[in-house]
Amino acid sequence: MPPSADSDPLPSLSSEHSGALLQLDRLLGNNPRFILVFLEYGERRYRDAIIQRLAEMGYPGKQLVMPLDWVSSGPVLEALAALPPDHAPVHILELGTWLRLEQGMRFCWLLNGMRDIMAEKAARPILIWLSPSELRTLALEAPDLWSWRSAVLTFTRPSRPQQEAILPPLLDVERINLRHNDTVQRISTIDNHLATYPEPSWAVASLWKERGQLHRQLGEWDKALADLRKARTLFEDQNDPRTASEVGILMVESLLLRGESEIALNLLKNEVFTVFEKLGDLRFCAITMSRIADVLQGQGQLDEALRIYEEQIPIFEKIGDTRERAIAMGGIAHVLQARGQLDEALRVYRELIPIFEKIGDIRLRAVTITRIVDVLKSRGEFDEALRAYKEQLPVFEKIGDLHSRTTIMSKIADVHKARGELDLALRIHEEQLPVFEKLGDLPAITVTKDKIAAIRQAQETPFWGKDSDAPFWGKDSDAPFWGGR
Amino acid sequence: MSDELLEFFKLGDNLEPNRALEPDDPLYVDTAHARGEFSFHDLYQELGVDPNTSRVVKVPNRRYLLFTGHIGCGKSTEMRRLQSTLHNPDGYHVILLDARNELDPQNLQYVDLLLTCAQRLCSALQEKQLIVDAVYLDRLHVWFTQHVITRMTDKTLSTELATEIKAGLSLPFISDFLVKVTNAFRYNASYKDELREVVRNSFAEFAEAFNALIDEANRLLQESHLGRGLLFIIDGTDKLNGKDTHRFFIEDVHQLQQIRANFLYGAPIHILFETNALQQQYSAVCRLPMIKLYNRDGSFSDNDARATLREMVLRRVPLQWFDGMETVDHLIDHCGGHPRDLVRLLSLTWQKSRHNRLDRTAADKAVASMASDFRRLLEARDYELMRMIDTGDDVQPDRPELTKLFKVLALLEYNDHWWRSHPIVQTLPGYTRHAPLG
Repeated sequence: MPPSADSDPLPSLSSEHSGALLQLDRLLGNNPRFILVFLEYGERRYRDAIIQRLAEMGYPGKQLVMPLDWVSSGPVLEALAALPPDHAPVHILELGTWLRLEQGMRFCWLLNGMRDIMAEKAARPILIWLSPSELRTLALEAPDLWSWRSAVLTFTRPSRPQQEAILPPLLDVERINLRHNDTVQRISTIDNHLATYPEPSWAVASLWKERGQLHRQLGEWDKALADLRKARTLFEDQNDPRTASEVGILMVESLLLRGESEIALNLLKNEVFTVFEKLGDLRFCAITMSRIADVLQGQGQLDEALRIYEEQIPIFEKIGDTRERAIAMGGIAHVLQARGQLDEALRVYRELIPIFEKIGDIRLRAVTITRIVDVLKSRGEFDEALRAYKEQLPVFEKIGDLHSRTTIMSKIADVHKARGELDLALRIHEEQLPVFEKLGDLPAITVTKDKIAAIRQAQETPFWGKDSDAPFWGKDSDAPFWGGR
Repeated sequence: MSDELLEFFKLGDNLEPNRALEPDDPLYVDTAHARGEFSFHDLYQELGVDPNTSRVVKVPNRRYLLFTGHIGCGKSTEMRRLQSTLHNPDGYHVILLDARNELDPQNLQYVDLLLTCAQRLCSALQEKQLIVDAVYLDRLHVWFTQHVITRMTDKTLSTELATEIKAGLSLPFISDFLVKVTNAFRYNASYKDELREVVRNSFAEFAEAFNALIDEANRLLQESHLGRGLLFIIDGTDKLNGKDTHRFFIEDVHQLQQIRANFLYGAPIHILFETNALQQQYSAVCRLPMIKLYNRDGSFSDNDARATLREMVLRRVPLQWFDGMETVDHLIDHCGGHPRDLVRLLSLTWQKSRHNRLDRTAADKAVASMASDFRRLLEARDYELMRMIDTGDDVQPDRPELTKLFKVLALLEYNDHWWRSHPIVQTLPGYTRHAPLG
């Protein structure tokens, strides 16, 4: 039986796929032999329906779900050798899960290099099911395997086939560093689409999620939070608690910037984590824990935060999630920084820069550098700090992260203040305040107002409040590591 | 099922894009003359081979040659044909090693390959019942004893190997020993790293020991009329992952070249654009171009490319199954001179055809299907770049986008190293949008 999460009947097949089914019938119906066919799909249940239909057509296939340890040739060969001595097709499922991780690339290379052995060991059709974006990744990372394809067949379908036109979501937006204008343009495109097709669906929920992420990228936290809330509700309505919980994680950043850390903690602990735990999703359990540590760190519970971060590192290593491991390491460094262990924090931050470079995350690379500069600033290395902060401004400008840019301008003002350049510091803070107000960063608004007041007071009196006089949550260390603050 | 329908279904057997053909396969068509001015002449000259007789006129003093070309352009087939041609008593004793079958192509370094070469040489000598004097094995024996066995921290394998090596100093024992070591490379990730480190740290000694064996093997082979010299043909090294490719061909080139023999390595075409020094680092680079239907200026090629491609089609699907030669030519016009793409187009036409006939409608659907494959992978800047190349604009050869375009076969190289976008890419709206104004 096809893997199915619930007992509801599988969806009926769309007539538009009859041609692809006929084509597949011709390929499979020929003499049993090795052939490689890629099948593009969008919904698991519909994929399962196709697999079931094929079985009814006389092609009962063996299904192999990609386990995590399929990153060396041994298990692959063993799995192929263990297949029953028939020529039934093999459906390779869930490969896409690993394509997003480091193991996925290794698996692509493995398939790329051992396609001949697969052909020899498996005298049967190999059917690889992938989403459109996963298909693209596989083709680019395993070009030799791709070149062996006998066909690429499409079994995607719109979720509301009668009326709804699907606007393809930009997948994994958080890793795409869109330019500011492109981000605004994309939001406008989504708005137009949602105005035309507002009916709730999985696709519409995805667009709200994307809209939230785009607003987040622009630093418009309130809008981001509203969009993400909407998306979460829609995903829940679509019976998709996993994606709803992923959206829940995205909401945390906005909640923290509104100063709602208790709400964020409650969301993570009692709603999001519970879902992932129930689903047995090790990776997202660890990501959720890492975010809980972020919140605790912001609340000043440094020991507890450090303990949680450290517990997640081996999990991320085990599953090969380089990015989340690096974020957790950044969290550790951030705690060390807050504790005053500056040398140790610097060492960790410096280790992270090449990792973010390698995975192409411009924003987190810039955030890490900013953290290093924060340390330099706290050590009184003002000239160097000023130069380094200014170097990061164009990076955030380029990726359209207005909030991080504004935060850095604020830090620059702090350096000027520390150097006694009060007029300049005041002017910068006054320029940044309306931006923070527009962005809805309540803690930053309060801190900036305090700083402006302190400078004005200092201009009238012979001494001024030091940077450390700011409330605790206004220090460099209160935002999560991955936040621009 | 009617006889005709059955026959029609059977055509599918000949339409597998993944099937590499041996030179004696009835479907095999010699394409060398259809690839423009390309010939193996330069390669033969490097190897001191008379192209007319395949005899070695003069055995060169170690040549390290690269054999490149697009994925699916026929490299493996041509390398096997080279083996078959050059392997003769007056030519070379050719050892063809397929890295995909004999090594772990997902994780391959020069150490793994050279140890496997040593093992294959020992096996070849054994097979021919040639007696290698112990004096030529002694250095390998010493190297194994002093480095591999004593320095390995993993005692399970080192004890096993120590038992093996104590058994005696002869070719069968060295050969068995090497089989164990190379198997460990292939199947055991924990031994692999340790063994690699041991070999890397004492590589100069290993190279000298291996060279001693090669020298003696050359003498024995010549004396026994089994070839005038050794030639290793390494297939499958064009399938390494990106990081391993760079390390293998560029960073570790000097280690590869410490071995005194002639080597022909299969290499991915994009490696040529990663460094300008490659041409200097290797004795020669032989590029297997696409079959050339058109010249650079768009005029018909004066070679018999179309006839060759027609023969390739009709050996797989006789003309009676087509609605006419026009459909055959339609497919040929859209394959870009790429044999595997031609087979794929043929296969897709067969998959999409109705009424047991490969007609123009099905051929058009096949072209559209492959166009869809390209559209999945290409971005706006890719089209722009290909358009520039096609219109003759200068493009820096080290542009990183080129690697992708060559990898996915959107850009093809013809003889004299000129490039053109795949004809199917040219049918896509993304490409036509970048057409020059006016």
